[in-house]
Amino acid sequence: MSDPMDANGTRQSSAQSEGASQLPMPAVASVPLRVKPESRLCTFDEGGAAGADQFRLLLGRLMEVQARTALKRLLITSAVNGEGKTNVATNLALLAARESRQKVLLVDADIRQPGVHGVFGLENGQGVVDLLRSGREPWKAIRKAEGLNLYVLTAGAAHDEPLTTARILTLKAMLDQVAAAFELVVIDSPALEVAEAPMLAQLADAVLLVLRAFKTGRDLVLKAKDVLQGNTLLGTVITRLDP
Amino acid sequence: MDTGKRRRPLTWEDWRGIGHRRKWLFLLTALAVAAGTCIVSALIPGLYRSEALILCESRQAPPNDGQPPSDADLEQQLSTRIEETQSRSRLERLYQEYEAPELGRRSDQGIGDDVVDEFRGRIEIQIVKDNDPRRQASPYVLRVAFEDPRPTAAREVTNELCTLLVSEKPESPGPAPEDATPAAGKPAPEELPSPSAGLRIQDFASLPDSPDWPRWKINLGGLAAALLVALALATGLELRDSSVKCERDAEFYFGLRNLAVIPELLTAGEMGRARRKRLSRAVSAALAAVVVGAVLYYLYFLRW
Repeated sequence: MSDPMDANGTRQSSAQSEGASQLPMPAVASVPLRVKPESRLCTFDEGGAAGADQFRLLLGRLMEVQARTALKRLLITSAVNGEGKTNVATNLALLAARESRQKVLLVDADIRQPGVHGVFGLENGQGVVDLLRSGREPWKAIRKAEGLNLYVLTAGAAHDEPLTTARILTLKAMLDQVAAAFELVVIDSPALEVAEAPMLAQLADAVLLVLRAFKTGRDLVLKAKDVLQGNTLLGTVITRLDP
Repeated sequence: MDTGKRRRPLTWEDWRGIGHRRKWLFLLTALAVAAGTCIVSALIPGLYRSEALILCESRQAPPNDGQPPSDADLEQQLSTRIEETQSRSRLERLYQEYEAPELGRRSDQGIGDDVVDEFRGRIEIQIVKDNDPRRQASPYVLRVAFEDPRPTAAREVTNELCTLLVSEKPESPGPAPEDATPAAGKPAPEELPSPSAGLRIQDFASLPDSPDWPRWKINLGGLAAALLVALALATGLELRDSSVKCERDAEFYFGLRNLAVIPELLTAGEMGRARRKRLSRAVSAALAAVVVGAVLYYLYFLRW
């Protein structure tokens, strides 16, 4: 396993550069989460819905890593589309906010196929795309889930233009600006077959690779692993498989 | 490490998973091939089987020896007699008499080995030993059977075979048959003490009134072929599939730790659809079973 600890010597983590996360947070809009019947949130209730235990296990393992290293920004990606990245990102962020009492920011960086707003029933008017275009204050677009330590930055209106290097750098600056106020930043990224995904991986302390059982070919995963060389690959999460 | 080319050794868990994943493919393929075989076997012309019984009445002591032959000797004598009866020349004669006219062959036309072998394959002569102590003196019975598409021919050939078996000296068909040549170290058949004096036809063959069903050889062969085809198909598909199937795959092929295995997360609507799908599958399977059962019932019990 690639451990973020290994990267400490060569790369300063974002958490180290930002210091403690308990900084005063600007006022953000608070919205109720409206989980739609068609969403796949298994961690919304405290009950033992199918899959919730596995997300608890995942969160526990992440917290182990957090205890040893300065893991704060976690990018969720996959080799190809349709593997379940958004489900993993939303469930993990929600569970971390509710059960570990961490302040969690969930960023939807998949600007071509945004999905986070749909899961939580949020408006997608203001998001990453709009912030990158307008250069506005990021706090204006972040919304807090009522009664939870979960903050969401949606992707904004979907479009097919790729994120340029300049915009990726702008996004990095934005994340640097807001991340200090959070203990965990979960970034829902596009699949690695999309051009900007490897660049987005550079913004995170570690990457979690989502694989869909009985669908993701070994060759695709090996290619994705090659693409992520230089990043801290924390491990894999296999979806659609009975544990 | 080039883990992309290397295959992870399969464990018992993997085989269980393959069985679980491919169970329907395996079952449906096997059922389709087996049902196809049953239907084909039902459609090809039926064979009538006629049976007769020959009783070995008492142990015959050779004149120069006071001891009656042992069971092993008796069985060997009976085996030799069966071999003699099924020699090429005798079968050729039977074929010329009963089969060739039906097929429009002239009696002076030669008969190939394959024809004789096929004819021999339809003959069944079994030595059956009865262990009842009351029949200690004559424990052996020969069960003679012959299969033919014509019931009359089945009966007549069976009776002819019985006659050959019980006759004191089998009819000489002319030149010595090739397969009657004694094997090295064994006495010639003529030198063996003949058990024929003790052989008596107990039940002559009767005219079979229906073809022999079910045709076990074809159907069991079809079932074995069905299982092999299904197994080959399931294994082939599994070998071609290079997707990630379990945690061990992630660790072996990519050298990455797997942190969680998330089951399929279904929405309320999808759960309802999944239930309806399961129900419709069960109903379809039941209907298919009823249809297949009805077809087989018709073929096996009504058609003939």
